[in-house]
Amino acid sequence: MPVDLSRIKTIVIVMMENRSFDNLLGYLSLPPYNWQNVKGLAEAQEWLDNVASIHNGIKYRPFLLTDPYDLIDADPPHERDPIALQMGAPVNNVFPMNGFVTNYASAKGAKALTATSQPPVMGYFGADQAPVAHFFAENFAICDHWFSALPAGTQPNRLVAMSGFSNIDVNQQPLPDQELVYDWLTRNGIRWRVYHQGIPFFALMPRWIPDIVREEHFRPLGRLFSDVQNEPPGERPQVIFIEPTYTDAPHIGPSSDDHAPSAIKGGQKFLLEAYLSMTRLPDVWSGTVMVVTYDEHGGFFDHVSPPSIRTDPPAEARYQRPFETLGVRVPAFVVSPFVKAKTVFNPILDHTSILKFIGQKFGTNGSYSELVDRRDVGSVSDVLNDMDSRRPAPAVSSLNDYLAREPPSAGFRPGAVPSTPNERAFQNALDTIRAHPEKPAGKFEDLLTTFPPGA
Amino acid sequence: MRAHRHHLIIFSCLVVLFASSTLLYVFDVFGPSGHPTEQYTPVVAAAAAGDLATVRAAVDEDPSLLRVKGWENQTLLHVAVGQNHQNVTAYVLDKGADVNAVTTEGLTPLHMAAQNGNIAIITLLLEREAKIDALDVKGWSPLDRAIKWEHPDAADFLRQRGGHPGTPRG
Repeated sequence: MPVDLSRIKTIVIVMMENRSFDNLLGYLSLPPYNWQNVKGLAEAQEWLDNVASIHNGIKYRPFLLTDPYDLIDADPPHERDPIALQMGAPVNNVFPMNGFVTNYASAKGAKALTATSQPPVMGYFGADQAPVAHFFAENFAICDHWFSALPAGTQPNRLVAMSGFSNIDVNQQPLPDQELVYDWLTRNGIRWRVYHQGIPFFALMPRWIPDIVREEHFRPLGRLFSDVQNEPPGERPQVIFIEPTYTDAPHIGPSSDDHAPSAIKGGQKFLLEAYLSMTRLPDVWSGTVMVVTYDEHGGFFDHVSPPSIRTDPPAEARYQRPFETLGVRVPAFVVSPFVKAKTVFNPILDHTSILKFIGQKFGTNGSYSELVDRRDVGSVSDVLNDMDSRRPAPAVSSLNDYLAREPPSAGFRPGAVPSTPNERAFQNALDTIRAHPEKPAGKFEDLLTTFPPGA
Repeated sequence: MRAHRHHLIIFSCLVVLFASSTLLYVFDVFGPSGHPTEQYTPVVAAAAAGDLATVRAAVDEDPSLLRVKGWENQTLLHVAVGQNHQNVTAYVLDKGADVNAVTTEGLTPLHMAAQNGNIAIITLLLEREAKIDALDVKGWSPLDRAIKWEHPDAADFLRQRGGHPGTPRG
C-alpha cells in the first residue's frame, strides 16, 4: 500500500446509473481539450468508422449530444444478453463493441432508424452539457479504465459494489438478501450513513426497511449540507453513500441518476449538491475521498473492449454461467484533496475497487474479503497521488444559468404504472415502507401521498 | 356600521401583515429559488473561491447582496469565513455585513471561524463586535465548536478573549 491512509477520515461513494465512459467523458481527448493521456474519442473519419455501430449494413458513428435537457427516446435494454449483443462476437478475446444501435433499435419507444439517424446511444456529451463532470475532471481525478463489475444490469452490478459478489445475474425482485459492506462496517465499529434523495436502493432488500424509516443510518440528502457542518469528529460518519433519485423508483419531478430516458442535467445538479455539501467544512473536506461512478453503461456505446477478468457464480448464486469479462467501461471520478488536478488514472478498476479501498482503510488486515482481494483490479487508493498538498476545495463556478431550466420528468412518475422488474421492485419497496409500523421521520411523505399502493 | 368598517380595516391590515411576514419567512428559509444549488449564485461562488475582485464588483453594484440569505440561511460573510477567506471576510465586514447574522442552524460567522480554528478571522470578527458567546441551535458557543473540532489554539484564544462554553440542548 503506497499511500498513508491515516489522513483519510471520510470515504464517500456516489453511484449513478447507466452511462458509458465515452458518453460522459470521451470528449476530453477531443478539441479544445485534447487530453493526450485519456482513452477517449477521436475526430479522424477512419477512427469514427472503426468504432461505429453497424445496423442493417449502415454505420452509425459517435456524435455530440448538444441538449442537456433532452430526454432520450427510449431506455435501451441493458441486461446480460442485450449487453452481449452490444459487445458483439469476440476475436481473440477482443470484442468489436459495435452492436449498440441494433440493441437500441429493439427498445420500446426507439425511433425508426434511417441512414441519417443519430441514435442517442451513439451520442456523447461535452463540457457544456455536463459542467459538473467537467469541473471534477479539471480539478480532480478521472479513471479511464473503470469497468462495471459485470456485463449485466443494475442489480447485479450494485450488489457487487455493495457486497463484492452478486447472487443474481439478471434484475429480479425481491433482491437476494446478501451481506453488504454496510453490515461489515457495522461489525467493525465504523460509522456509516446513507443520504438518499429519493427511495434508496437498499429498500429493494426488505430487511433494510426498519433501518430506512429511522434516521441513524438513512437520511434525506437535504440534510447532508447541515450534517457536514454540525457533526463533530468522532460522531460524523466515516463512510457515506449518497443515492440519487432513481428514474425507476416512484419520484416527483426530474430524476437525478442519469438513467435513460432521463436528461443529463438532473444528475449534474445532484452531483453539484453532493460536492457543495462535502466541501462546506474545510476540516471535513481535508480528509475526504469521494468516489463517483456509474453502476453500468446502460446501453450507451463505448469503444473499449472489457478485459477478460472472470467472475464465477458464487456459492449461493441463482445462475450457473460465469461472466468471462468485466462489464462495459463507465465514467469514474475520485474527488478529493488527495489527488492532483487533471489526474487521469489508466490502470483497470471496477466496483470492487471501492471495497478494496474500504478494506485497506478499515479492515483489520487491510482487507474487506478474500474474494475481493483476489479480484485482478486495482484499489481506489492507487488513484491517490497527492497526500500532502492540503489544498483547499476548489470552488465551482455558479451554474445558475445551466440550472435554471428543468428537464421533463421521466420514468416512474406520478400516474405511471410500473412495468419493468426494477420499477415493480421499487413500488414494492414503497409499499413495504407504507406498511411498516414505524412511520418514517420526515421521509417519503410526498411519495407515500402521491403514489398509491401497487396492485 | 362605522365601527364594523373600522374592524374590517384593522382585520385586513392584520391579514396583509400576516401574509407578508409569512411570505418573507418562506423567502428567508428557502431563498429566492427552490433548490439549494440555485442559491449558489455567482457572488456566493466568488466568496467561496476567495475571489475578492468579483465580490467587490458585485457588492459595490448591489450592497443588498450582503443581506441575502442562501443555503441554510448563510450570508456572504458566512461563506467567506466558512472557506477561510480572510480577504473577502475583511471586505464584506468593511461594507457593513452583519457580523452576528445566524444560519438556520444558529451559526454566527464566529462559530464557523472557531470551528475552522482560524485565529486570524476570529480576531477580525471580534474586532467588529461579534458576540463571543452566541449559541447555535445545539446550544454550543464558538468556544465549544473550537474544542469539539479539535482546535486547541483557537479554543485558548477564545478563552483569553472571554469566551465561555454554552449550554448544550437536547
